[in-house]
Amino acid sequence: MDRRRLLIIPYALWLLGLLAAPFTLILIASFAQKDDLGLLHYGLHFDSYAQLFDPLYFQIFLRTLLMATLHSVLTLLVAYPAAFFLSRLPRKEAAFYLTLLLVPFWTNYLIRLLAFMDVLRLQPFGIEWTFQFHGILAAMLYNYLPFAVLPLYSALEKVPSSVIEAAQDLGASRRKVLTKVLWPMTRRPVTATFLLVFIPALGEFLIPVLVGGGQNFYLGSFLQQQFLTFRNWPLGSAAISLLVLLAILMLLFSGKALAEEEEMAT
Amino acid sequence: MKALKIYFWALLAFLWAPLFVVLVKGSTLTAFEKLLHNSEVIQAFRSSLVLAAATAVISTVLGLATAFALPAFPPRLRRIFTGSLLLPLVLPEIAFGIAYLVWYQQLGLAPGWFTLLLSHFAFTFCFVVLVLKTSVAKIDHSLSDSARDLGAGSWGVFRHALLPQLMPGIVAGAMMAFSLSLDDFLITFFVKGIDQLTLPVKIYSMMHLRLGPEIYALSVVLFAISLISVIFTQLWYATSHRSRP
Repeated sequence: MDRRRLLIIPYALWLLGLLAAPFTLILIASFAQKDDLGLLHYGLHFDSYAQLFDPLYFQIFLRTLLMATLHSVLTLLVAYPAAFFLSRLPRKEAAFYLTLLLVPFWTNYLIRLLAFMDVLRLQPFGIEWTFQFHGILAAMLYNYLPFAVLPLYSALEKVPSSVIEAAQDLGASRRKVLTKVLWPMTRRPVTATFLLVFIPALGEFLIPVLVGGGQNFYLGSFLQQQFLTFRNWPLGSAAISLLVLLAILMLLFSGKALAEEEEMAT
Repeated sequence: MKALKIYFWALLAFLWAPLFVVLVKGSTLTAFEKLLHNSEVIQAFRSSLVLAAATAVISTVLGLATAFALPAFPPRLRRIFTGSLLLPLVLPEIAFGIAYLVWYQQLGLAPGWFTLLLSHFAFTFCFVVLVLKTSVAKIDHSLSDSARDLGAGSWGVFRHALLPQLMPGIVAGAMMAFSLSLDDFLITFFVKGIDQLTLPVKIYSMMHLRLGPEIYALSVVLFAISLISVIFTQLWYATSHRSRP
């Protein structure tokens, strides 16, 4: 056996102790039952899963799904033209613009978010933003935009300008170029990018709490409450189990796209 | 193309506006004075730096071992390994914070610096392996072969033939782990004990009392550190690439 294989031990420990075991435990806890004294009884109870469909909780999940979906669509729509712009520039110039895009992220996430709220309080465009749903979307866009631009840029960069020019020479309108040339050539990376901003958004905690003011609950606050306030592990675990299952199904579903994405990144 | 350029600059304005607020509010003498007198913030900052440094060292060393081990496995297995390492990058962070909270409690590990370090290692490790994986793949093996021919032992080969080639990846990976750890709020929030105040947690706890100018001054400091380290690595990359034949 190759002696180098022994070096995999740290990874194996990580996989077992910091990935497999914690999430197996969450899965087990989701089937447990909590009695009136707050004690857990392990077993195969589906009470917590049924409880998730209680309108009281279900509206939280629907709101979270709506927010994550709108945020992802918005972020992709804003990021795509920006990535296209970068992809048509010479490499050096593109690197310069990319740096300009990333510099604002060189300071602490929390401080950045607070500063963003300072800007929102100035009521840009004469609109109230703080404690509003559209304020949450704006903050999400602000926070996730570079994560969308980078993979889209590396995908669009692979579309040769000659292809676009050929289409234009043949009389294709701008819209035709977008729908018949760019979109088919970048559909998969776009799907992967969508998931890259959609899945983390489902568990977003700080933005709804800070920008949304916490009046409307999202999944993140719900989970925080179940685990830190009510200590209702089964209910919280059921929500996490479904969240992780949903995420993994979506990732597998677009697995091919993601594998391609990874190839591009390396 | 011109319209796109204007569009891109508008986006930059959107992204830069908050940073601008920070730099303006934080670059005053009174803000820095207040920062220096706020011992709790300084203490939290110091704790965060120590935690981030320890995380970076552990993640980089163990990440390097993993990156070396990966090519020794058949491609199918390797794909599974890499796939599992991608999970913490794509799954919601909150799921990890809570899974660790529950897991440590089950293990009887009291929340403290150790659980924090373990959790920070858990997510930075993935990034480091993914960065170093590509560095290891790019290794020029003729160098280590000639070192061995010249009588170098396996340590000597690693130290003199492999390590210099891997250095850019190691620095990039360590810096990534450091900044990810320094920036982390959510996982820390769930696994920390009462006494562990990292900078993001401290800021979060202060927010309800409205932030003082010292937080902005601190942000200026953090920004300056990032700026200097980026410039430093860029220069270092440029010179190390030039010196290569």
